[in-house]
Parts: sequence; structure tokens; C-alpha cells
Amino acid sequence: MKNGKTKLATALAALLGSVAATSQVLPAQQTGNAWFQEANDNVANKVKTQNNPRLAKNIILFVGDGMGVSTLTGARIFEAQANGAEFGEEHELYFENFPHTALVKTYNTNSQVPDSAGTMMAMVAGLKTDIGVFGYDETVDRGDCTTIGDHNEVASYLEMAEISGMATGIVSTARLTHATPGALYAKTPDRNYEDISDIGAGSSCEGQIEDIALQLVNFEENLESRYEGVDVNGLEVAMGGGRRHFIPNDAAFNVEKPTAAGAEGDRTDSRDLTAEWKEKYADGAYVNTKAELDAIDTSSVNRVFALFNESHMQYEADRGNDIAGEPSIAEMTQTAIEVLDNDPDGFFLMVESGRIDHAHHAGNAYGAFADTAAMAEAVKAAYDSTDPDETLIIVTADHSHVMTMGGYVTRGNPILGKAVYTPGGDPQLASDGLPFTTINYNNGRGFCDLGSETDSDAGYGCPSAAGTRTDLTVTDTTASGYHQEALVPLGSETHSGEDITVHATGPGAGFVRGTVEQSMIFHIMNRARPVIGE
Amino acid sequence: MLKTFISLLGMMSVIATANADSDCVDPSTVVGGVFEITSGSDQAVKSLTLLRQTPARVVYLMTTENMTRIYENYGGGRVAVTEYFDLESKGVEHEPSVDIAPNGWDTLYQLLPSAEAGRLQHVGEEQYRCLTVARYESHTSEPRLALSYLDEVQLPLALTSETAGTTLTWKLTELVTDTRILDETLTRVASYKTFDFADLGDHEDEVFFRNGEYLQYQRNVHAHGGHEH
Repeated sequence: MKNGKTKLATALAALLGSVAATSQVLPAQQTGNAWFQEANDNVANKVKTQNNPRLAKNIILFVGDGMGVSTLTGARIFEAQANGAEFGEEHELYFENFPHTALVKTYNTNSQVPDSAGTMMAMVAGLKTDIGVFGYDETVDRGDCTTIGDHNEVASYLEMAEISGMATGIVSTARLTHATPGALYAKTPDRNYEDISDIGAGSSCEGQIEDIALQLVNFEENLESRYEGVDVNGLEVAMGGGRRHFIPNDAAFNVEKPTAAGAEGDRTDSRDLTAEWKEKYADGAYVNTKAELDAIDTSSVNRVFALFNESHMQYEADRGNDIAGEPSIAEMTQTAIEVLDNDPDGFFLMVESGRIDHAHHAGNAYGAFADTAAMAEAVKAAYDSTDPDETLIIVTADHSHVMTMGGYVTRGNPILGKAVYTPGGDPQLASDGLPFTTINYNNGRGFCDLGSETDSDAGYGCPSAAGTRTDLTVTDTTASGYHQEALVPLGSETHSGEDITVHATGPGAGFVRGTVEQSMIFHIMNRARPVIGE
Repeated sequence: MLKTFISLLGMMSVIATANADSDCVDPSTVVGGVFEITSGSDQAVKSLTLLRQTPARVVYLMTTENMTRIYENYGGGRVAVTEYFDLESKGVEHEPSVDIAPNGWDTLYQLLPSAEAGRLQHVGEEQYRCLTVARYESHTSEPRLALSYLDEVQLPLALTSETAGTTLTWKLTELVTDTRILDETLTRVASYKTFDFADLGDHEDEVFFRNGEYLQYQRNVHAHGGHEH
């Protein structure tokens, strides 16, 4: 033993000596180099905050739906170049400089390539489950209500936070009934049961479960019914799209859609859930537009329900074209925090950038990058409006997409441009004699040039061109309406199964490191702000 | 549809002569029309039934393709469309966009952009079931166009375009006055499982979308022309 200690001491002395010597022996041009210093500062920052023992008062979980690693890389270059950077590769999205980062394995229990329902369950319930399901463990059969019950129902972090007395909120640019937000408050064997009309007549679920929209409005009483003696006050914030699932299939309830064009709502049970919410929470604010949101006095209003679109909210690049006017994800985040912060017991807020995923599905990298950059602004807004010593901010994705970035493209080349190998040179030609872009998709619908179109989904109107090459010589591939080429022809581009990242700052962030299962995120949050004993 | 019609207005040759039926029709009772469309080098024939539910909502029954479309006018040039795949009992909703009818709602609702009619030469009038038929022609450049239009019901009676030996013909075969077909269609598609266009990528459980059948439908529509938006 003694010899062992001596050997260890000798080794440590040698190691420390070598470290101490490093700054003395490295050339000044190296230690003074900005790249070197930045990397050194980054490591120092990680060391400084590692294993932070403080507990968090608040937790904010950002989920970039479909925001895989290649999306982060592309979006950071996109954001920098859009802001006039000479190059862009060196840039960081706001949350990329958070001190703690980890890789996350995303698979669902029955799927190597996951979907948003199963992955969100991992994050907010601490366990993996089947694709397309939330609120139940993997023993459920999708869409089969004979397989659900008390034996396989599980709770989310948001539900536990609500019971523990925290204020709770959900913000999403997708429909509030979509998988990512839905997994926080609803339990369903099929993510598609967004309103009662989606539960097929004669199915095992007809009359057996509440649709997802109804579960949002009934969240408070449903939670109280599950836990005897529990008295909660419900969601303080729910902002996003999906109005169609909350109002009747009757044009008299339309908000934006002209009456003559038909009903905006989908509900076939004649229930107006927005009216029911207003009746439950008379002191709350129900809004449909950015102007109405801006008019809220967040110092006195403690509850907000906002449905800004009949379906998903607009893509960030297309937001200006919305008829009624929609807030940005940063503006929604800011307002949500101002409302939630009124509760001295702290809050849990989930913010989803839901349309990164949709832009990728449509094969439009521009839309995905623009929405990723918009979410980075929302993260900054959250960081700037909270105390970093008491708020854990986690930024992650649910899964990735099959978008790739390739070719030996010269530094500073436009990220959405044609691959150019030498500065100032012409586009590189592939072996078929045609130019190609840095960004491409493995599958999907493929090439479509819609010019300055900012609605990524307009690409669904194009004929599929996947599996074929297009001469891009005269095409502006950096335009917002350009849809990248794809190899395998599918109705839409798909998720991918490689790891995604998680970034964190604040109390408890030190737990974010290594390569982890996605379900670790729940446990990290619970270590930072315990809502159940572990 | 829109693009096709505009191209028709650019083309044209022969006007299909209207059938002078003896039974008169009250224009206020007309909810739509059935058209026979002949196109392509093989002169393939397909059928389209246009039905108007309201001034801002029209139904296209595309029986040849086994598809139904409902177009909705949101105003400001924005039009939404839901495509229904009748053999699959499934639908896909496309959100309001200026791209669906870039030349205006009229091209979907009355099959004629109002601005375009003025560019044609008025060459005469005739009667069809006691309705006035305005005849137009355009021979100034190819494609040559001939149009017989029922102004009182805002539908073409016949339209022919010809360019480089290719002829495209639309012919009204029936004016629809019975609203039951409209009601039945709306009831039928309401029973379909309908998806938001943006959500197709999340429906890996739907074989129809996953295995390319959906794409095949779209290819057929594009290949035959005349219904694309």
C-alpha cells in the first residue's frame, strides 16, 4: 500500500508538473490564439460549474423537435451568415456555450428510429415507451384502450411539479395537442387522438378515454382524481397552436377562418373547450393573437391560455404572413416566464420549437435552420429573464433527421449554397457533371425550387423528385423556398436514429455529461428540483 | 387547375359547340357542373365534377383519380385545400397559401380568371338550356383558345386549346342542380381519417403515406395534368 501511495504521488507530481509547464513551453502565438483561448475558457467554465450542489427553484426545458446535431451545425452557420459573418462555422447558437453538454440516445422501446411521443415520454416521465404513445409504459399496444389502465399509467415531471406546488407552463409552436406538449399533461395510447373526432367510432377507445385537448382543459381535475387528497391549481401557462381541437366543428366558432370557407374547429361533440377553460379560470387570460398577448399585464395575470393558430403556428420565416399575427417563440417564452414567475414557489416550463421537425419533413433546411435560430433566441430570453443561480435551463431535442452536411466545402461557403471547394471558385461538379449542395437529405420528396416561398410546407405541392439529380446551375439554393435533393423517395422526409445533444446551465446542470439515455433528463431535473424522492 | 386553365387561355383552337337542350335551367339552382376533360397525345379522358358549397368553398370530385378535393377561400389570395383519397378513406389538409391558387380564387370557383376573359375576343352568343353562352376566341398566338362561357352560372360550357398539335378540351356534360351529391360528398369525406400536411412525417404507422402510395396518387394527378395546384 505504501509503495502504491508513493507511486501515485509521483505520478500526480509529474502530471501537475507537466500541466504547469504547458503554459510556459507553448509558443505565445499558440496560447494567445483566439481559438485556443476560447477553448480554454470553455473548459474552465465547465470545471467551474461542475457538480453544482445547489438546488434549482425553476426548471425550463427547451425541446427543439427534430433538432439533431447536423441541424445545430447548419443552424449556427446559417444564423451567423444571416447576421453578416464572414465565415460562420466558428459561431455558436446561444445555448451551445452552456457549460454542460451530453449526447443522448433516443430510441423508443419498439423503434430504433423514434418519434416525438416516445422520446418526450423519456424526457418527462423518466422511462422509455413505445412509439406514438404517451402517459403509459411500453406494455401498452398503440391505439388499443383494452391495454391501458392503472397498471401501466405513468406520470410526467410536470404533473409532479404541479402537485409539489410549482407553477407549470407549456409553450409550443406546434399544436398544444401534439406529441411533445401532450406528453406533459395527457395520457393516450395514440398521439393522434387530438380531439374527439380523431377517436374512431367503434374503436376500443371510443368513450373510454378523453381526447388530448380535453385532457388539457381538464388537467387540474384529472390530476386530482388520480391522487387522493391532492389539491392543485392547474396549468398556469399553455401557449401554442391547435385551436381546431378545442372548438366545435361549427363555423360560428371560427376565429380566423371566413365563415363561408367552412368550420375551423374539428370537435364533433359540440363542446367549446375554450369557453370551458374560461369558465374554470375566470381570472385567466385567453388570447388568439400577438396583440392580445402583448396586452396582458403579466404582473397581475397569473394564468394564460393562448391558441394562436387553428393548426401549428407559422414557421418563423413565414410568421409575418400570418393573418392575425403570431408572437415569436422568444416572445411567448418571455411572457410565460413573466406569468410563471409570479409564483414564489418556482416553476416548471417546457418550451418546444415544434416546426424544426416539420420543415425537415418537408425537405426544407432553410425553415429548419430559421426555427432553430429562433429557439436559440428564446433560450437567451429565458436566460436573461431568470436568475442563473436558481434556474436550471436544459436545451435538447427529441430526435434527429436525415439531413446531412457534406462535400469538402470551402470555409465560409453559404451553408445552403452549392458546394464550392475553393474560395471564390465555381461550384464543384459531381461525377454526373452537375453541381450539388452542402445540405441534402437521405430521404423525402427531394428537389423543389419555390424561390422566395417561406412556408416550408408548400413543398408538399411539388411532385416528388427524390432519387433523381437536378441541374442546379441556375438555381438559388440559398433561397427560403429551396427544397434540397433527396435520395430515397418517401412521402416526407423521416426522423433519424443517431444521438442528439442536451445542453444545460444552472443548478443541477453538472449532471449533464457523457452519453446518456434520454430518460436521464427526467432524473436530472428531479435531482435539480426534486418533485419525487429518488 | 389554375395553371392548366391559364395555359388554356394561352392556347386554343376549336370551340366545342353547346348542346341546345330544350329544358331550361334556373341559374339560381345550379350548384356545379360535370366536365369531361380530354388531354394529351393519347387524348385520355377524365371526369371532374365541380360543386359549390358556398362562395368560399368548392368541392372537386376527381373520379378518374379516385380523389376529392375541397378548396376553401381564406381571402387575401390565400386558399386552403384538403385532398381526399377515396379508395383509402384518408385525407391530407394543406394550410392556406397563396400558392394553391396563384391566379386567384376565380380559377377554382368559376374555372376562369376574371381578368383573363377580357383579353379574349368576344365572337358571339348562343343559348344553352335558356342560359346565355358567351363565345370567345383567341387566335393571336399559340396556343389558340376557344371558350364558350355561361356567365349566369359562371362555368365554362366548352373550352378547347390547341398548340403544336396538342389539343386539350373541357366540355360541360351536365349542370348540377341537385344538392344531394354535395351533401353526400361532404358526409363521405367527413368520415375519412384526415391528416395535416405537416404531420405526414409523423405518421409512420400509416402504410398509405409510408410506402409511397400517396406519392403515386400525386404522380398520377401531375402526369395527367389539369388538377394540379
